[in-house]
Amino acid sequence: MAGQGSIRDGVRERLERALEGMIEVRDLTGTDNHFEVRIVSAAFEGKTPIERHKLVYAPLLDWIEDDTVHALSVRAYTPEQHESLTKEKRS
Amino acid sequence: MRPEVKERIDREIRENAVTIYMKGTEMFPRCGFSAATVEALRLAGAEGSIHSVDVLADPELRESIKEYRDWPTIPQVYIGGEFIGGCDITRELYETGELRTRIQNALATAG
Repeated sequence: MAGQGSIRDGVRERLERALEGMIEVRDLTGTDNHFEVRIVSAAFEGKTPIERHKLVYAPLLDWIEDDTVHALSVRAYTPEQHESLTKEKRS
Repeated sequence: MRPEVKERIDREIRENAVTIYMKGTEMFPRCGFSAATVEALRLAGAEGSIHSVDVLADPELRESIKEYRDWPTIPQVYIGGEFIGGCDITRELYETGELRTRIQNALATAG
């Protein structure tokens, strides 16, 4: 467990240590155990969706295993993908 | 994972065009992600051809399926014997149309 801090902060800290890039963690249910993470990182370049998810799961495996993190939705983008998504939204 | 369990999964994903390991059943999902994943499969043309397996009814399978493709979460989708991913990836593939193509190919092969 993450001591007195929220699990959400713990998730973000662990991800920040593991992956370089833009990281956002949302608490989906207000219960601090269902999260959506959005990550933009060059680490995802050339990786399949399965490989990208595994990179995100890796630093959180023990929390997924013991149900500290009950549900985790992952949006993993490369900087290039993120750029084109942002453009789409603007136009 | 016991070899019998691995063989069971091997067989199950080979013999069924579309297999989902989920919480609850196709009719009565017991988790939002499982429900959303079944829905994506249906919308992509798998309605009536989904082999769903309730991991809540089988604790050993629930643990083994996580080891099987080194994937720590449930649901898990397999199409034509191939591991597709969980809820996020299945929905992404649905949105791009690739899920429909994969399901059609798997159903055609299954004859």
